Amino acid sequence: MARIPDDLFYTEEHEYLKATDEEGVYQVGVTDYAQGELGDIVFLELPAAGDSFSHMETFGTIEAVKAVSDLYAPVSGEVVAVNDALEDDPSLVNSDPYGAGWMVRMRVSDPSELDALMSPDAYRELVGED
Amino acid sequence: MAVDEALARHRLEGEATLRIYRWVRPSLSFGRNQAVEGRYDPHALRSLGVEVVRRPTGGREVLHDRELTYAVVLPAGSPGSPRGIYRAVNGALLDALRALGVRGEIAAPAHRTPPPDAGACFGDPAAGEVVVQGRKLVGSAQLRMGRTLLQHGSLLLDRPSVDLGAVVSVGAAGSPRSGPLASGTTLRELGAGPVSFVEIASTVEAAVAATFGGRWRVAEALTPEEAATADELEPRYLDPLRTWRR
Repeated sequence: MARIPDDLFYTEEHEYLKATDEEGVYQVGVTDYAQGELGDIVFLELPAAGDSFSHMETFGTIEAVKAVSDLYAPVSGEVVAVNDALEDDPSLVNSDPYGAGWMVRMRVSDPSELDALMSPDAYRELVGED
Repeated sequence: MAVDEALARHRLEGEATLRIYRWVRPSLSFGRNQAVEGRYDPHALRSLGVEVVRRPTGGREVLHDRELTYAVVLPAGSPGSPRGIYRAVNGALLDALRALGVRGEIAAPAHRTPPPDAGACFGDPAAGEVVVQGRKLVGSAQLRMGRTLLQHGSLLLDRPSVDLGAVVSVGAAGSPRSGPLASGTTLRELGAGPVSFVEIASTVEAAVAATFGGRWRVAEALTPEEAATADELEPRYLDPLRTWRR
């Protein structure tokens, strides 16, 4: 059963946002459900710190055994940090999606967009684990 | 590649698309994220008359020559469905092969997942791929763009007309047996035939339509919108800097 922590925001694209110690900055990655469905992650194409994205713009790609999927910015904002460890070990997304497998940290430019994200309960319903 | 991506970008709600094509010249396609720097010499490939392109989809290199290439565009649904679609498309291809007198099967899960840098696509069958007597006959790869999934792949009809063995540099990126067709098999080797490309194509079309049902369009001609997008995307696929970026 996929882990769906209670302290995160979720998207229909199976990504999550996790608050960091810095106000307005959120960690972004794919959910435990997504990594399980995708299978072994073999490559990630991520943006550079300083890049900005609008809501639902493609910010990178994730490759799992021949299948490449686009990654979408769950909110508008600027990338303030990128998880370089994934370049050497993309399997961190599989082993620890909410921790060491985070992808980028984004400074949210329009906090009202957070209201449109899914709650843990809504996400559980989406993936059929309510 | 530009046409396949254009078909995916213009999928209509409730519709799926199948395109079947072949190649004018032998062409080597690299996986979207595959590292090929130092593995192939672009000049040597050119002197052999081999075109090179980087796919929008994942996986490893494929030498396209005497093959039937298919592209299907379907609704993606969730991250779960790409694997389901992979299985379903390969199941349809198995049905088509059976109609052509070839009994294939789906490859069992491998012990480890090859990274995109691990050498040729036809070298090692991955889980869920179409194999005959343990040798890969069809290689496929996917791209998920939002709610749309593109899967394209190669059904090998015969051995390629060129031998890339002399131009592949074998080093960290692959083992000596991982040439672009290493350990794969072809319809000709399996004794299917004589059968024309058109017959194989219509058998694949029928099998895909029977597997998925619903509204299918066989993309024999592009819509004006698809053609415009393909034209727009083409320079990106022709750009050597993009092709050789890793």
